[in-house]
Amino acid sequence: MIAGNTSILISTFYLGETLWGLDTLDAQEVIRVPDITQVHNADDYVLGIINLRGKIVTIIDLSRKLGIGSSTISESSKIIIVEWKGEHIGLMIDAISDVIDIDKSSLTSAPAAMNGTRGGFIDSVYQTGKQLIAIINVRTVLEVTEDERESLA
Amino acid sequence: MSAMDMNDETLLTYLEESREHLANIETNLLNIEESGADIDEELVNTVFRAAHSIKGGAGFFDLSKIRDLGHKVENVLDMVRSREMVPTPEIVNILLISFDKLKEMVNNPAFSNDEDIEEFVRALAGLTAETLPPEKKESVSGIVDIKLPDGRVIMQMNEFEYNQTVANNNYIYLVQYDLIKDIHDSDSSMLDFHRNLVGIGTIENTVTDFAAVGTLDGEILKSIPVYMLFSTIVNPGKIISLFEVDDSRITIIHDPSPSGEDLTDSVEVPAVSLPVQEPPSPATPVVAAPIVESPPVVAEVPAAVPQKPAPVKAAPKKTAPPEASSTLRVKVKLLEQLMTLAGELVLGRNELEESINQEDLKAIASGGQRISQVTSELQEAIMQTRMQDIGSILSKFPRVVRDLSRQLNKQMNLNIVGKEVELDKTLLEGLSDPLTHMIRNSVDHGVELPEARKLAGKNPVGTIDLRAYHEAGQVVIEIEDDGNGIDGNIIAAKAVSKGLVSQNEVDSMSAKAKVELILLPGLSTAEKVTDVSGRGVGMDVVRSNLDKLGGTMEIDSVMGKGSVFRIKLPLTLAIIPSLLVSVNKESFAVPQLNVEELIRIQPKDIKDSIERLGTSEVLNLRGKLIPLVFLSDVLGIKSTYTDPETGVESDDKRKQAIDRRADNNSENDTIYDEVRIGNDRRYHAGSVLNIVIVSSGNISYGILVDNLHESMEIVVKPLGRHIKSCKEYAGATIMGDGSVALILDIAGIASILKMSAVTSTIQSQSEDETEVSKLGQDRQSFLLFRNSPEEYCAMPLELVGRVEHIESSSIQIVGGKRIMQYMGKGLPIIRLEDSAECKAIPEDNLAVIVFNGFGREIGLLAMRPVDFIEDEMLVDHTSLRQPGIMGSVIIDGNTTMILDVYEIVEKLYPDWTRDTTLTASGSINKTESNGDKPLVLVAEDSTFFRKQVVKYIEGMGVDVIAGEDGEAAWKLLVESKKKVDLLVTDIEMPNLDGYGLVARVRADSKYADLPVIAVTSLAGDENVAKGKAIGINDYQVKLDKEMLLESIRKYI
Repeated sequence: MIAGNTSILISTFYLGETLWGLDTLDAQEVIRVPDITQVHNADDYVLGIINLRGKIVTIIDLSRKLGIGSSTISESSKIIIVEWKGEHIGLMIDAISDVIDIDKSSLTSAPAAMNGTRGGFIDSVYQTGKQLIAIINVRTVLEVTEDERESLA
Repeated sequence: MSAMDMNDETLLTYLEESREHLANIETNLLNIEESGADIDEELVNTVFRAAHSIKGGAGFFDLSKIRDLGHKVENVLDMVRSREMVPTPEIVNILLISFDKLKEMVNNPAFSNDEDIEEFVRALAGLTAETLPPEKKESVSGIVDIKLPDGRVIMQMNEFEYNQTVANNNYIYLVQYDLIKDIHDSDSSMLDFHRNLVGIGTIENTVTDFAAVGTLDGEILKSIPVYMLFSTIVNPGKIISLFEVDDSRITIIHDPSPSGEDLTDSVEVPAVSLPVQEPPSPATPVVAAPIVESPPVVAEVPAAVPQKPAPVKAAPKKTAPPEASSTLRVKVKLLEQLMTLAGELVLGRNELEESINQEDLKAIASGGQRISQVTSELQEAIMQTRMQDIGSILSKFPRVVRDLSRQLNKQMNLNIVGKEVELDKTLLEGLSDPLTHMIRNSVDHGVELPEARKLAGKNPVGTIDLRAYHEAGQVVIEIEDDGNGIDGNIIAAKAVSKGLVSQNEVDSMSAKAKVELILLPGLSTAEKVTDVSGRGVGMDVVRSNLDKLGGTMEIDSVMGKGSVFRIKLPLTLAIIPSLLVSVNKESFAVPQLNVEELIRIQPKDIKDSIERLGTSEVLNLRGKLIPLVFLSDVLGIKSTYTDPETGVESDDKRKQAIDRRADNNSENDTIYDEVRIGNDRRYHAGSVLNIVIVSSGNISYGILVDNLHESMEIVVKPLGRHIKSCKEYAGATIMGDGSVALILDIAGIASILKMSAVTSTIQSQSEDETEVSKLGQDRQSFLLFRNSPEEYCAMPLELVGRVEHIESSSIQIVGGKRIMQYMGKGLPIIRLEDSAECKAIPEDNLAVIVFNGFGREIGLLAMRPVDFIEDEMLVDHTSLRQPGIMGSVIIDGNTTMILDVYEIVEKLYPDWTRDTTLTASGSINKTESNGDKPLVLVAEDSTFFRKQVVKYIEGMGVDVIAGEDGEAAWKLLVESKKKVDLLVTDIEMPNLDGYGLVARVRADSKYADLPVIAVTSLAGDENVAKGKAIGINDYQVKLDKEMLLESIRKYI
């Protein structure tokens, strides 16, 4: 593997049966699913809030946010804590997989028809031998759009 | 000039210090002004030193404009100090605005050199020159060259200042430093040097001698000489050690001691000839010229002052948000306490870890206890670091009051008490604006002009007391003025005219409540819009700001004596006492501040306590109607009711019951029972109701929850961005077990439910009255039932007296007419099919709807179930029109016939109505002396009722005109070519209600004799009395046709 800035560490995880990835630098930690306090009347992709060492962290249903259904919490479910605009946010995933070290040049842009590409949620895709891993853009995924605010208001 | 490094730590320190210096200047200047000629030297010195250090430091950082302005201010202050100048209000004014400018520049150093300080400099120089004896005046614009021993002119000094310094018996030294050797290599900064010297003398100027540095092409820089001109009374023998440079680099420019005269000679204090010198700063000639011409020019200086705000105002655009708030001063003692506690915490943790390793349960328990104790102490200490003196915001008010009262030609004193009261930092920041607004209000509207005060026998100088103190765990801030007070009636009248409250409500208000209407949005009392206040936004903005801080406001006002505005604030926002409640095992916190009381209603009392008002339930709490909401409904939580039969499905059903439930006459016990027990499990016989009565501002309502739990102090944590838009929540908190509970936002929930303050102030009516919901203007309430399984019918709810379940066997047919025994009397029964063509009503599952008409009770047969609806709907008066059916509406997708029960009765019992028509025509003839039909004006906002009333009255053979509200009716009345003989008006109407309309009618002599009949659903004794008082001749309950027509006949 080539060291230095041409390589990138990708944390991969499952949403349903699909393998996804995000830049490891975006992830703060991965935690087990604690008790989630539901926030009634919040947007449907908000699963609720948790107490993460004294901080209130919003938990987002990543599947729903990406428009690929919704997640069911199981034994293997995990929450990836990411930091966004100074706030900690948890992304609910169905299972965590490996961290892979890949060369940036092996990333290609996402095919237009892919789920989640419309919102700019997918940065790029990585083709492994058997699978295609979509790498999400945490910032666009978490951006609160005007539409959403209005629909909530 | 090289670009400044705004992150340079030295610079930041300087700026921070300057801000501190500037912070107290205002107060000090105002005190100086107050003492006038009787100068408090120490005070002047304080201000002088502040100006001085700002100026001195600015020199080092090339902040030339700050330096220049600081310098000029210093000159003026120096003259005040030496009693050459009396600090008149004009002079203090100029000093104040100059310090304002300085503050602005210090807050924005990067742009300070682009600031235009010309006006300030000119005004200040003018002050200096003005007080000087004529022979010295020229020196103001003169320049003295300061030369190096080799004769090179290194810097210049204002001649006047030079002379001032010399006159004070100062030595003047020129010291040469080397930036590289002395400063850089010794690992110190210019600022350190500066600080060392400030205490003992004055740094007049600092100049870097770039000429001596040489070119960059040459050798590596070995030295950068900096020359500093320093004046002090310290003699040369001692000064050398202070400068920390060897004496060869010190030049004595002036020596005040007689023996030292030769030194001065050697430096050759130049006899300055103005024209030869370099152009002096452009300001000076401008000032010098007019002053020499005529002394009265003095007036010009203050005259220039009002223009000052222009540059000051322009600046904030580029001003970065005040940096001062990014740092916080903490007392060292407190910090030490925190350190100790942190140490304790670490010890506790070690102890606990140890005990856990050893699995010593007892030790674990004691360790846990220790940590808990330390934690609460730590929490308290940390909270204290956030506490700041309220004085920091109160101290700006003397200036505000002073400036404003001058501007308004008023005289007043401001007394401040309780500057030491501590408040949470965030609260303080949020409090500043509302307080300023209120103080300005008191000065502008509260305190009268001196003449008016004299006339009223008061001291022409008004007094405003600003007090802060602790009371019952809250901070109270009072602003009391001895002005004219607030006229509650004027406020109330204005609120009514703006449609913010109705006349009814106002009439039942206390004087205090009327005054407090000033807090309603959209009400500004200033009759005259002034510069100062009265721009239509006013106290309501203050109120909403206070609401955000969790504060409340009360107003006490006595006409002619003055007003007290009382603000109550929590000590801190971060930790609040809260009540925990739960719905469906989910916990929520309600801030204790919002909790008014807790109420448990036993099942047997539910019927008496809870009433229906429109679509909502209300609690009758000691005569006051409080709207109720189910927390589960607000938050969309599925109910916990565990009934295996109904299960999940019942949730939807219940929702429907809520939606469809409408206003009701409380005599309708049968319907109540049906709704309550049949459809609405929440009123299940077995369930106790737990209600939290909450209030926010002047809105109060009751929240129904499953359980009430304990009250506890909770730490408020903000919610993330994705949830921020949920107005139901004010934040979240972490409970003892680590779980998260949401904090309810009481004001937010009220706004989501579109609750208004108005609903909560509706006075309870006597039991048998019908209340009309105030929601929406074109809303109609109907009783829904069916005539046959496919025929949906409705009748206006206002007509309905009661609904009874009956068996068809109880109806007897007597002489072809149906009748049933009811409450000891025979009740005539009518059916829709008696008049309209429709299917026959089935024999079972019957209800009878009892209504009043023709002076008796009549029953209409209907199929159960009977339901209510209240909605905005468009009545189609034509398509299905036939006798007994006045029109149709679409309700829930079904075409529903609206019955005209009176028509059915008329068809069935023609003799009852014949009497009516006869008498009607008889009475009409009486007034037909002019050959015209009488004209009746109808005012009614509901389209449905307007049409009905018009139809009824037209049936009497008179002409009718109708308007959809008071305003429209008034217009019709005024514009009508024919004389209007009678006004029939509704009471509850938009724009101008019935009372307003009648008041207007009665106020106009033209219509003084116009008879008025009010037709309303609000017919309590109080209302009748009130209506009579303002000139309503008769009251008719909505909508008894016979009674109404009879009443009309009396008046035309």
